[in-house]
Amino acid sequence: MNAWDWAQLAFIGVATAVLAPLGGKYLAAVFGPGKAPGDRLMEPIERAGYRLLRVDPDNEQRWTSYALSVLAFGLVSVVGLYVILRLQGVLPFNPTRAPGMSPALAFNTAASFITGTDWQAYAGETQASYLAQMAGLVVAQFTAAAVGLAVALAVIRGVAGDRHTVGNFWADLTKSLTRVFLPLSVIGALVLVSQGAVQNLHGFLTAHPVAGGTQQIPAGPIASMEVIKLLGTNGGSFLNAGGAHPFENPSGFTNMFDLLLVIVLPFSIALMFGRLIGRPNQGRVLVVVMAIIFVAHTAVGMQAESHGNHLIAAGVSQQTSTANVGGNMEGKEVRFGPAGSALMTVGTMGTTAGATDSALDSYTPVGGASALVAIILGEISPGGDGGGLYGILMMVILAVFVAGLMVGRTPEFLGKKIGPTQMKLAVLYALTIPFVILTFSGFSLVLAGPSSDALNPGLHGFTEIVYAFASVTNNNGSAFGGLNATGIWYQTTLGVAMLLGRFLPIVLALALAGSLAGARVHARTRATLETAGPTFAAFLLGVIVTVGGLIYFPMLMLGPIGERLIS
Amino acid sequence: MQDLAYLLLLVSVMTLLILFVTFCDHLLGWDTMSEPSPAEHAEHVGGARPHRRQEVPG
Amino acid sequence: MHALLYRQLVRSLVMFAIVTVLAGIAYPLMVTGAANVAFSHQAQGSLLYHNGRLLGSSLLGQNFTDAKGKPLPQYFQPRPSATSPTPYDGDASGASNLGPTNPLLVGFVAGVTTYRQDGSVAPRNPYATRTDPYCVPTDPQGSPISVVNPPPGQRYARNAHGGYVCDPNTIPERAIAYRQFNGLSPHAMVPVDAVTASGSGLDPEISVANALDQAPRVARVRRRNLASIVALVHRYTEGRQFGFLGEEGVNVLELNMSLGGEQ
Repeated sequence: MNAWDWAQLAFIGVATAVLAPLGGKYLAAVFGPGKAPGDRLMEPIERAGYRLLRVDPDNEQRWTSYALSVLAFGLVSVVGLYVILRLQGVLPFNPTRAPGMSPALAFNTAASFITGTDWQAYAGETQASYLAQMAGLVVAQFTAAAVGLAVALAVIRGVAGDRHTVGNFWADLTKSLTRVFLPLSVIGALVLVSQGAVQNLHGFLTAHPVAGGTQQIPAGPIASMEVIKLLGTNGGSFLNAGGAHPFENPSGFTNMFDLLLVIVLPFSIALMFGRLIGRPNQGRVLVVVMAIIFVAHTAVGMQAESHGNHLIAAGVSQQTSTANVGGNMEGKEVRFGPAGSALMTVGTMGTTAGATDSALDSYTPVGGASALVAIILGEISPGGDGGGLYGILMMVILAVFVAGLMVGRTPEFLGKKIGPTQMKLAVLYALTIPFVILTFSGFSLVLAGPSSDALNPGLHGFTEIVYAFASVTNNNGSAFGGLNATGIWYQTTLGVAMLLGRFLPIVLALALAGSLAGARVHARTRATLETAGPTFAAFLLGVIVTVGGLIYFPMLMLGPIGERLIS
Repeated sequence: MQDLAYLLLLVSVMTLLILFVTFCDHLLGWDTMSEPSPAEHAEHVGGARPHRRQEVPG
Repeated sequence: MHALLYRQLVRSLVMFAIVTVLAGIAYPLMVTGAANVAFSHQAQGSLLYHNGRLLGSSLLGQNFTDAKGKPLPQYFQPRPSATSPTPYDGDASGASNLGPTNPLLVGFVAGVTTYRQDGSVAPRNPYATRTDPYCVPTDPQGSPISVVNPPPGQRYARNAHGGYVCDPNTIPERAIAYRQFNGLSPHAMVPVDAVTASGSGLDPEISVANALDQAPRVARVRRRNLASIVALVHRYTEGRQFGFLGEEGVNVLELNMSLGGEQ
């Protein structure tokens, strides 16, 4: 990595350090008691919404009711999107004449976007109508983000609050949309367009290139999808090449702006947590742990891609300089370069966005591994909108328990006892996702058909398959694009994995919050384990890495580590 | 035909998840699912009394 | 419980409808309107016209080849593109997705990517030619042969001298073709962006080093002095944004348009 690359990484660090606290302050004002900016403008709209929904926003739900609301809304949303995608061929506003999706593809895509995974087993240019993208997929991107934030709020209230209730799902969902995602998306989309992202409503144009022939120029409401793809930590793109496409991500600046759109909000949510519970340092501890993991996997990825592919013939210069972009440029764009690409791509891997600006399948073994490691550590660096927070809180519960055992004290967090019930739920949470990944991957590798759908030979092909399941179960949605996932096996199994990977952890997190809601708060004494200090931060980091490492080490050995060792 | 299969698959997964909620509720020993909590009952009657927004200890 | 679930299902339907209208219709229409008022050139795709004809977009690369796909020497050549069926296909953005140890990308590297059918690795590349030790042979239809011991009966494409015809899409082959096309010595270093396919297949830029390697050829074919061509290269070089974001690159389409001679 050269000085320019470090400068970009430092820029991301500084920008996040400035913006996240502002975001945390704003979010705490919106979702906490008292007034918030935007009240006068938004409250009439919100009240109208509550009337239509027949909901009293102050009526709080117990965790079971909250969870059922999440599941009911999920079911309706998936079915609704499924219908739109199946019928897109006959519905209006389809200038690219995309046919209706097959049942398997519609199932996979609907499950994908509603869960925030945004795994795309189709090419946007030819297989999705403008209506489906704009009023189906984008709607799902907004709701996935809002549901994540809502669940995080419920978990915070349960873990830290003094009542048996965890809030009102419909109110949380509404405010997430009106105060966070909709307004910020409007602004963000216009910034993107100013830099060259495309936003119009007509069909593709036919151009007559200088050297002859014709070229199709894509069109459509691209920037409006791009922004919520990033801000909502979703990752699904209008065009097939996603963040590599110049019409979505036209410049070095938009590349970094995209990364900030992805990571600032999850960091802000962690700081919001600290503010809402009245212990800002607790939020800061979480942010520090998230940031350390983020920098680690991102810097490793940047270094690996800048260094390049040592198998490339000696006469090809991978030396990075201003004149020679250098590094591993297969599947990458010149305007981003190898390190800038890795910074954005591997950076978003720590969130459930998994928005790539380059082809992961072509990354070096270590580069690809850094993306995979970011995902399997549980999407907590900094994680998806809301999902990152309740994800890391579950790891905090585990860490508090282990620490309590080690020092011989009753484990407690924020004054509430962490007992066997809480531990059962936390351990189930930690094991659910790996279980789904490893089971489905195992079957896919053993069955003749699915195991031959990988593009690349040998261990790289192994990685393509396990990466797919690791990615979708964690609702990341990025892919080693060579895997042919359009057959019924992968469409179905990946779709089921996404649903389980999204909703099982949500139910478990809400159950844990419910088990602590209204529990007795013990006074702080000198003997209380300090969870808002640097020792606990280091310990939490250790627990996260150990748990992830132990579960996934064999898989990593068979995949990217093995590939690097034998090449 | 395939549509039906996938919709059934979806409903089954969601039913599984709903049952999982019941299981967790049982694990927590509360079994609160059978009757609505007093607040929700009031809402059903139409027009709940406004509750104070939940505040967390500071 | 059933009453509870039913009520939430009804609310879910209402919420789904509300969000579809707000975020699915009102939001994109509002953004489209504002974007086309404030930034209409960008919103429409940064389109390039010449004499009233749409040539392309300054953000998208395009081919500079003849009807058979051979590169035209009077134009600067863009990066390889893996879109299918043709390169720089605006309808089919995408990358090759070839992994770093795939012989279709890096060639048969002896002892490393010289895979046999059973997955073991052979110590030598039996298809190595004098010019290309990493040669991946092709069959008579032009498809590359991806293992060093295919089943017996495999037919290979042969050139006039009886040697193997190497797959032109591997990095070593692209490097050899680049040096020949640009009149460089057989040992000259080739910039990596010139022999690798981009992530989108529509990358509008090449590195400055790549452009400067091509400048002498373009100057020679167009009978112009080298300094003027190099000046044009620098004119269409976009630097890092705000001085440090991204990388420098030369916009091939704009550069070629400035050379004159487009229809």
